[in-house]
Amino acid sequence: MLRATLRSLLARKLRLLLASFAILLGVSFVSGAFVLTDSLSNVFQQLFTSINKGTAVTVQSSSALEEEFGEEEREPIRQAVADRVARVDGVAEVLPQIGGQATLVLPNGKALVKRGPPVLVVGLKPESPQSSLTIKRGVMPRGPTQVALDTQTAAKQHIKVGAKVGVIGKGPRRTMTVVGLLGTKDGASRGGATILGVDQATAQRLLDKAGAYNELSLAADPGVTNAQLRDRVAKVLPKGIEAVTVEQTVAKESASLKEDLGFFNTFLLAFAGISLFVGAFLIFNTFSMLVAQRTRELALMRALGASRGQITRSVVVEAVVVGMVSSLAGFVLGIGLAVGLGGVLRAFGIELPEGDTVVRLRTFVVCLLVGVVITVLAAFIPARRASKVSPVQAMRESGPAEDRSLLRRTLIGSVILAVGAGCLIVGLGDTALSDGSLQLVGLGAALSFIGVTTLSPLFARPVAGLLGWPFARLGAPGRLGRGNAMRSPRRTSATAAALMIGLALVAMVSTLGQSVKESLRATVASTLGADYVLNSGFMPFSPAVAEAVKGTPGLAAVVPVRAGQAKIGEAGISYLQGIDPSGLQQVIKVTVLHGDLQALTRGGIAVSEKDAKKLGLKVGKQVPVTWARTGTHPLEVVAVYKDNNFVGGYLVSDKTFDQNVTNKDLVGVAIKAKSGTPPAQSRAALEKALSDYPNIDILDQAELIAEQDNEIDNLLNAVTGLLVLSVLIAILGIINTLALSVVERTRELGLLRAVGLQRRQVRWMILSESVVIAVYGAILGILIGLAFGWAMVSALRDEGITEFAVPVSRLLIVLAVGALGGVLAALLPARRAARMDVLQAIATT
Amino acid sequence: MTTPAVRATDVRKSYGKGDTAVTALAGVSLDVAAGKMTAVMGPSGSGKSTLMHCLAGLDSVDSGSISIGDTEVVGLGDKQLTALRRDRVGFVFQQYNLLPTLTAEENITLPLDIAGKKPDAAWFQQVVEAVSLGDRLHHRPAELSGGQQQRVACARALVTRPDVVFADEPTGNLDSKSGAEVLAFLQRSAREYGQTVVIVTHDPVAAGYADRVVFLADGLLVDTMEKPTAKKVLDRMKRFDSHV
Repeated sequence: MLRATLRSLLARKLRLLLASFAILLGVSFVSGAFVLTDSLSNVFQQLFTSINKGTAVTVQSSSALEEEFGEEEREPIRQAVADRVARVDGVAEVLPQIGGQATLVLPNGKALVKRGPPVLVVGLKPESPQSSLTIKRGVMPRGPTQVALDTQTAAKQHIKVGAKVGVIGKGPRRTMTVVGLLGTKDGASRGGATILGVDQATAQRLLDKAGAYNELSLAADPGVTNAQLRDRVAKVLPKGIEAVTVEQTVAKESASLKEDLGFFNTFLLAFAGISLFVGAFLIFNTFSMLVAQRTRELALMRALGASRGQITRSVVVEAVVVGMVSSLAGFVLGIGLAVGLGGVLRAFGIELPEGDTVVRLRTFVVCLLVGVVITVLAAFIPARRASKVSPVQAMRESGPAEDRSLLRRTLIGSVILAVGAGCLIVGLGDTALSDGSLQLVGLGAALSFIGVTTLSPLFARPVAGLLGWPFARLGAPGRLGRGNAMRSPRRTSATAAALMIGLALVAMVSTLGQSVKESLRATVASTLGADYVLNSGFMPFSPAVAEAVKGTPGLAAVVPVRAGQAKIGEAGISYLQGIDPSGLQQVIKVTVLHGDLQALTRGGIAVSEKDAKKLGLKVGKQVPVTWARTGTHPLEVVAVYKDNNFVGGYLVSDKTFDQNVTNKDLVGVAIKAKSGTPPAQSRAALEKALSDYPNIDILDQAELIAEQDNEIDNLLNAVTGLLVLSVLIAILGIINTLALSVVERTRELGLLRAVGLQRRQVRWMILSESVVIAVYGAILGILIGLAFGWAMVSALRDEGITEFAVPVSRLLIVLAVGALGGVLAALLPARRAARMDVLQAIATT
Repeated sequence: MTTPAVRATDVRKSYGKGDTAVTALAGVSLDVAAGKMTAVMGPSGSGKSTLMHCLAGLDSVDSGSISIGDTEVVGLGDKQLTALRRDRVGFVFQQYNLLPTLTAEENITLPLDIAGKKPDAAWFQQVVEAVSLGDRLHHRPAELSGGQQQRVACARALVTRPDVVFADEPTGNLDSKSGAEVLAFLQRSAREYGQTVVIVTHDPVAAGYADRVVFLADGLLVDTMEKPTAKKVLDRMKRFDSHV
């Protein structure tokens, strides 16, 4: 039996090839995701090792919040502490670390804009054995006007030794001369960060930390263990400063890296899952068609004494072989894809560090398992159907089985769809977006797709008839193509379903994106009173910017906005903003429901209506707030305001913020011009005031909206780019269906050619069928996408997405892409059909 | 006598190459009289199907010439051949003559549809009445009997008023009553409408409907018979059997 199975597999290898290609692509995505994240993890682990080489213990300020806030959130360490630590027995060396985010102004006067890895100012002390950086070319920077640049950035931006660049730290721009190029001592990657090396005093000045450091790295004398050194050092440290061993630091860094990369991996795997889901449809389709075609062969086997179990098993074994072969190929392809995927993400502005490609055994096992299991699952229903072939069917003339009960299909499809919709609603209802609810949403979406696919044969015939109308109008070939698309609703639906999935998700994210855009627009229109907003992309920037603007003539109000995190009551870690309440109402219209915002100046906190309800807060009540630097203090609720996208959930005064948060960087400055000042005049004045800050954008309301739209579009494009693979797989599915149909209809094609259908007309006929199927899939996809999008927007209403908007132009593009997919899919089958030998085709029985 | 509807001159055709080459037509010359029904007979392997395929522009020849009306068929490209078959040739095959997705009416007008032409309503009516399909026009092939399907195919072959209708074993899959109906229709179309018909068959009864029978053996035209009857044809065929 096994031999017969393998024989039949080989005989139909061409037909299975396309189907296995679908699994191959899906698995390659899985493999690529793992290889990419493993490789990234490897790069960062090397970076950690490199940075921490020779370090035994780190001395740093303690943080009241467990969450990782990054370097700058910790209070700096004063020189006196460093001096005291240096005297501890067993400390071989103290390397004070000073560094932080900054902006690099290129020689052309523009700020270097990056997403992903940061631009860092680093205070160099290369003579220290603990320092990981070294000068590769030129000399060490010394004094306030010299800087060394990492070799990679220098090469990418064509900056040579001797060039003048600007550096903006916490203060205004400083012009500096590039005197050297930096690299790591051990050649390890820097994780893509741009590094501006300066001497330590200059770094302190640039970062506004005169006489202080981020932390101290200590090397131990021989014979002193890291733990011993930590305990000895801890004894001399003042309150609020702690010592941790390098093992603790690395463990913490690795854990947070693992979490970040895990999230990234899950994100990529979600798209791989979508591709595999589409691939499963294709496998299901192909096996269904193959089983239908082989009815006689299977019946003959049954007549010769093969049991039902043996028939089922023979099909399942086929699936296992197909799954295995394609998974193996997919695994290998994925290693290449990992490199390409990084390229795709880079193309969308998400920069990833480069490093060695890491392929783990786990990746191999997962790929093989996923590929085989999905193939077998998808082939199971066709396999069961195959076993139901009765031996008499060997003698019968009739070909593929006729449609079975539509009632049963309707019932089953409706139930699946209802369960799917239920899962979606429940999953989306949980705004906390816990893992469980996300999985529920995924399951709901998958079930909805299966439900729609089950139901869609019910309307495939009329819809295909309607869609094929333009083709039918154009002549007989179009009419014949339309007829072919209508003749087997189940096949048409199953084929269209594969395309539906990818396009539905594109339509969904487009709808969500459009709704977010419209909501932002509405928010700007209703609550933003400011004429200008200053920002620096998504990077925080120096408070000196607000100071630079304050004296500008023609301005009525300049309101700097700080943002940070704190633990508020039972709400856990939340974002809160620090704004001077006196100017606030001029730039942001906040509707106060209870209390008085101006009371914020005396300390206290204002809470949005939604969060007040969530935490049960009222004006006059105290709420405990835990800050990273200063620990837990109760704050009085002084006002409750209507939910406001610009202000967010929690608001304190700038003074309260500064007292409790180390990082005083701004996320924005809102500016109101004096009424009557011509816009050109106020803008010119602002530009003049900000001439030293090329990293700052001056945006009026329209530009602010355009910028947000642009950000959303970028995100949409990246997600759409990741969904392209599933659409490609679906196109393979259409090719497969058409190819099988062409083979099945050989005799008809021969007849048509004999009675005078030209080759060109044959091609047009196949093309019409293909486009009808593809557009059917696209329309189903758009409808489902709109439904999903609407569900998500409804669920996110509380998060500030108040408008539901239909992205008409994007949906038209989706439709056009569907039609184009149909055209592409038709090319090969149409060619094959047109080239068919007429006499042989007629002779086929 | 008028010009023949189809003329073949010294047509040769063989399959394969070298030692394994099989000669299907070894130099056949034949005039098919316009407005008559001609039967091509011969034992299996005699080359009668190959001859029909070549005459109809479905297959190429090695040498010789074939003309339909005043058009030389040999040497035409696929495009012209296809157009020729569409506009000037009608076909009735042994089985699977119809497209399952089309109704009887659509199947009949298929060659016209393909050419983008409107059927001549009066002629269409006449043909449909002649094959007695009036009440079945909107049925699909699956809902028609074998005999009805073959009559639809005949109507399709006639609807374009082709120069010649080729029928390849048109009654091979039918019972004798249905077969007789189809043959009677083909005979009438020649006699009443002056339609040239070429029918390839190995059935003496079928050949008996023709105005003339040509006999093929081993790729050569070996005999002709005017005004045949089934009995005369059968007798002639028996002589083949005794020769071989």
